[in-house]
Amino acid sequence: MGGRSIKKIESKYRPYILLIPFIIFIILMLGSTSMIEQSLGYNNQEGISSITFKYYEEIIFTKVFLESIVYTIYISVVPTLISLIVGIYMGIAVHFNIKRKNRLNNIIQIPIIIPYTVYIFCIILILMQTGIVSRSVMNLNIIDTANDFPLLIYDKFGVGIIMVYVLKQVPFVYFIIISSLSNMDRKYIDVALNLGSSKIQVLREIVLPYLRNSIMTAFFIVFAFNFGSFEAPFLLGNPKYNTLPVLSYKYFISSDIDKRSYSMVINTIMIIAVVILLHIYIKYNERKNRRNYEKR
Amino acid sequence: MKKIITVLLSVLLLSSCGKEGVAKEEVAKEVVRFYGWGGDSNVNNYLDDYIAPLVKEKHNIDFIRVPMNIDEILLKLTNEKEAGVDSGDIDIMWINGENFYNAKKIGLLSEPFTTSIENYSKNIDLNAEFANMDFNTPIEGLEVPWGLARLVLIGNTNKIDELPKNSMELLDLVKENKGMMTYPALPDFTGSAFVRMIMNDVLGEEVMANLGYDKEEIRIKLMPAFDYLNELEKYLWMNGETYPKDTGVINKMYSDGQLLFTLSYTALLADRKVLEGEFEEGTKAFIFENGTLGNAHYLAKPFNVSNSEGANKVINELISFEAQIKKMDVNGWGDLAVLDMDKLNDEEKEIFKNTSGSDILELETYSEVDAKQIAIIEELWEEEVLRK
Repeated sequence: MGGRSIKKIESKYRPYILLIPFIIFIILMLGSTSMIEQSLGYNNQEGISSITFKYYEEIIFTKVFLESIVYTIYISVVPTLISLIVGIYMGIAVHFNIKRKNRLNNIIQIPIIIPYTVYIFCIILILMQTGIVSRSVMNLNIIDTANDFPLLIYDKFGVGIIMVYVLKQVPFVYFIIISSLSNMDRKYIDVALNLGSSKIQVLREIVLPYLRNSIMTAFFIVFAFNFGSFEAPFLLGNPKYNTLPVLSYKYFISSDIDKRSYSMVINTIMIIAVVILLHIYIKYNERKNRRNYEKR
Repeated sequence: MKKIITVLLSVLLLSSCGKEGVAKEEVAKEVVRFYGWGGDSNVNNYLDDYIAPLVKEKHNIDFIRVPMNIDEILLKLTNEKEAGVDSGDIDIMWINGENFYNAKKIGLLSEPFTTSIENYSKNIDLNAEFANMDFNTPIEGLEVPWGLARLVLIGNTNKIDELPKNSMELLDLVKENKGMMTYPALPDFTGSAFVRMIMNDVLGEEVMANLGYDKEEIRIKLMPAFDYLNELEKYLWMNGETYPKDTGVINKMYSDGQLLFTLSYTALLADRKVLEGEFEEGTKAFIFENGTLGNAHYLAKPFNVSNSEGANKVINELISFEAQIKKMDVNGWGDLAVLDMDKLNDEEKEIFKNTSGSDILELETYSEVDAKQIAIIEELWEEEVLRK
């Protein structure tokens, strides 16, 4: 009896114990940069030691900030959805149609290894108005000058940013899907097909519900990354539309040092947003697990 | 037995202490560490291949260049100050503008030291604005001018008959050549300077000198300049729907023939790029007849400098006549010298006059507004020009 309860406690706290190094790291990181303190107006160097929410109030209701939130959500949701759709399609198509996929998988792995900045650089060379695509089109006499080529980077809709994200994240989603599918019991599908289900029905009723957890995981990981990512929107974005990280950077490098507090406010808000998202994800998983448990 | 061990241990401890102390002193005498931006190979080569051997030969000092951005340097010093580190790694740092303002405000700089630099009073015009004010912050002997920068416009004279002499001529020219000009979005440093230069030209120096600090008042005062920029925007690249991030992109577009103009804070950039074959022959740097913006960059010592005298010797070499002329070499760094023509002897004068870029130094510069006002101008530009 006693032994069992100890085990119970152990298993209850085990995840947290294993997470200690990570938690220490996070605390050190937040502590040493004194980000949250600075966002509250607490600043060692200038001897200001009272806490104020002034900076939060000053920035949260500005048009720039609100627009930035909308744009950040746009620039993180759209590529996430595209990557998910393409990645899931690819995963399912490859899993059920190709027997020997080792070599194929090796090739699809390549984009995961290549850093984002390299991707961004390539996208610039390919898509800019004097880039490879534009030059080819010019040589075919479809357009006369480079300025006639549509703007695909630094543009309003963030085409370049979305392309970088999609190219990089489709393989990621693909591998999540593939590894999940390889653990799937084929029996369900065979039975369904035997009983006269169409392929579409199998996909809808068996494969997609089976993949639901993996899809949610992929969605949260990819979305959280896109939400906080800096380099692609910074290097490929239109200066009119700033994502939150870019806005934060702008305030941080402002020649007026007091504006740095705004930068810290934005960073704090982003961390809170990601924590909330994580919470939703954990709650979702818990509910899901409980339901599975009850079903059994 | 115990006694012997104790004695041995203490001897060991003491001896190691002594050794360390001596070694540190010796090293500190020989080494001068230079901390500064390391993003340009021309600058790095100048320091590594010219300055380092020079100070080694003359003063037997090992010159060590540590590439680090100024904001990181200031962060490092801030941390060291909070932690009470009296003897840091940094002997010389490369600094200017708002970073100098902040460093001075927080107390990250050494005692005033310019008077102990021989070449300072020998080569530099002590009445010049750059010797007394760094972006409206009084220098008060805390830093030594090292080089000068001038904002220049760069135009393709093969395609333009006459380079514009003021903002109105520029507007006319851009109207005729729609989509052939752009400038970097603020808060890019060069873009910001370009906008302030336009403001000086459109509104006059008087208005810019009395801006004040109230955002709405500044908005009203600057309105004619914003009107001009909005008019200009209609004829810019992509009709001003977007602006490039920095001058790097604009230079690339210029060398691809997509633009007629580019701009730079490096006055000799055009000459160098033509030499390198990146810009086509006939590319010329120019400024408006009323003047342009300029600034200086400086050398300073931190509060916890460990080799103060060595740093003085190196700084003295860095502003010597030879080193300054070498710095202006278009094939090398191509940075404008801080030398005062009137203080040079005839032979030096001749050399200086024949160095390309010395003509740019003779032109007028507007006085700069301060960091707080720059931040306000950048915000207003976003509201009135970018988002309008």
